[in-house]
Amino acid sequence: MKNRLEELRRKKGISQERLAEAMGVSRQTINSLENGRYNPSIKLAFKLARYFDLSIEEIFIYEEDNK
Amino acid sequence: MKMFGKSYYEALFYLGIGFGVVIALNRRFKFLPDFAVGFLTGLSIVLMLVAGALRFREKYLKAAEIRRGDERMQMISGKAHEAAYYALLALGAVAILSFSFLGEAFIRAALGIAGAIFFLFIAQLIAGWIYAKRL
Repeated sequence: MKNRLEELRRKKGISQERLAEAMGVSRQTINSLENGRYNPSIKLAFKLARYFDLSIEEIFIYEEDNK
Repeated sequence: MKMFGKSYYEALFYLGIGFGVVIALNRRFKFLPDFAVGFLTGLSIVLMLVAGALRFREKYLKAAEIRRGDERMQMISGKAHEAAYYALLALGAVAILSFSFLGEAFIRAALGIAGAIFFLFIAQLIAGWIYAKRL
């Protein structure tokens, strides 16, 4: 799953540390999310969407596996 | 009381003081065996020093609070436990087989390990059943 988290965070002018603090997670988790190594729970996805005032689909892009 | 929070370390600190009081009472009334005095003295000192110091470290407490609530950390911890569980099962199976070939003297050890693995398996079944009901 791709996401626009880094782009949105930079646009807002905040650090990973500050976003992590606002979400109640570690900075490493934000870093993993931005690099696409970790997919968030629905709860964290909602929190992020509300923080950026967007919908979940506008932040996270679901891609079906092409097998 | 949240685990690894300020009140948690305060409780441990006062537990350490409590053990200290028990040791002091024991000096007067002599009700504890020697090994218990040694164990409680060590535990009391460690609890008072470690928990006493950690309860004032705001930075550490905040980091611990985040680690506890962080879903990625919880997932990592769960996966690490799972991997360790399977490693333990594999090691146990190898140990049982090895002990079985070593003769009668090792049969008890093999049976003990087999019993422990069986207990783990039963505990896993029960935990799975409980979680299946809850979730």
